[in-house]
Amino acid sequence: MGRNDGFLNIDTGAVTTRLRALADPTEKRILVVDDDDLELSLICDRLRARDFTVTPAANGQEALDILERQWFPVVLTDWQMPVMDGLELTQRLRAKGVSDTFVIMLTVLNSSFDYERAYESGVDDYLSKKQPDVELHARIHAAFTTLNLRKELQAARAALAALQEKSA
Amino acid sequence: MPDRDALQAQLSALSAQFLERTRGHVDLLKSLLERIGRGDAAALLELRAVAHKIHGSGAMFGFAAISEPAGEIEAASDELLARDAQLLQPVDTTFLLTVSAALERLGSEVEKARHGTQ
Repeated sequence: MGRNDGFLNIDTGAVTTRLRALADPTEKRILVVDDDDLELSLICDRLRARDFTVTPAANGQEALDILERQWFPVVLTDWQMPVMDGLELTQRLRAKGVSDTFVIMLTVLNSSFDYERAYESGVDDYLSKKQPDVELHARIHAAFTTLNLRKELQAARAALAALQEKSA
Repeated sequence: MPDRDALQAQLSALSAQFLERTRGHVDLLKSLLERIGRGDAAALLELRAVAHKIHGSGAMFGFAAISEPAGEIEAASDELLARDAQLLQPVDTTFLLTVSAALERLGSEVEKARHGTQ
């Protein structure tokens, strides 16, 4: 129970929820999508060496089938692929209401890449294939940091809503 | 965290596979270019697809000198596709010379890289 002098009473339940969200980092699981088997192996080996749990997929449709069964915090996808490309994969994922998966588009990043279409499709970030190993991990780390901050924000909003409801 | 040496060995093995595959792709690109010269539109699409693949994979594996000429072939293909995808007109010599020169460089860089990793 808090003081009744204009300050909101502190609900320990809401605080506990927030602390739990802060203490529970997003699992380090990544879905990697690339039709090139050598590129796929290269990326997966590099990520596994950094203790990420990695699941490979050879095209956008295969990735969608996997995502039907299991949620992934981060999807790293190539752009141009047969069957279903990275942009269509992202569009379909967002159309299903999946907003809490961070999508990184892997691309050669030249003038032919349609940034506007990718942005409208729901891509969160881009990674050039010309990046060295260090930048790959920096971008992945930034993705997980963003996801944790989003979780924190959601928890804080939920706690605030609960407090406001209580004080109403 | 897995052993650094083991990871390096894995990556080296993948690089070697990439170079071997690209060597085969160079031969394929040469035959596709000949077919394009004879007006084969399907060959142009395939040339573009293979060049794009090498452009991207070359960059990922750290072979910029292989990625760049492949990127030039891809760009030249995109230009020709935008102008005359069905190859209804005779293919201009600029395209053929540009791609041919880039192919020579690509082949040379692949061989240099292969000998460098052996």
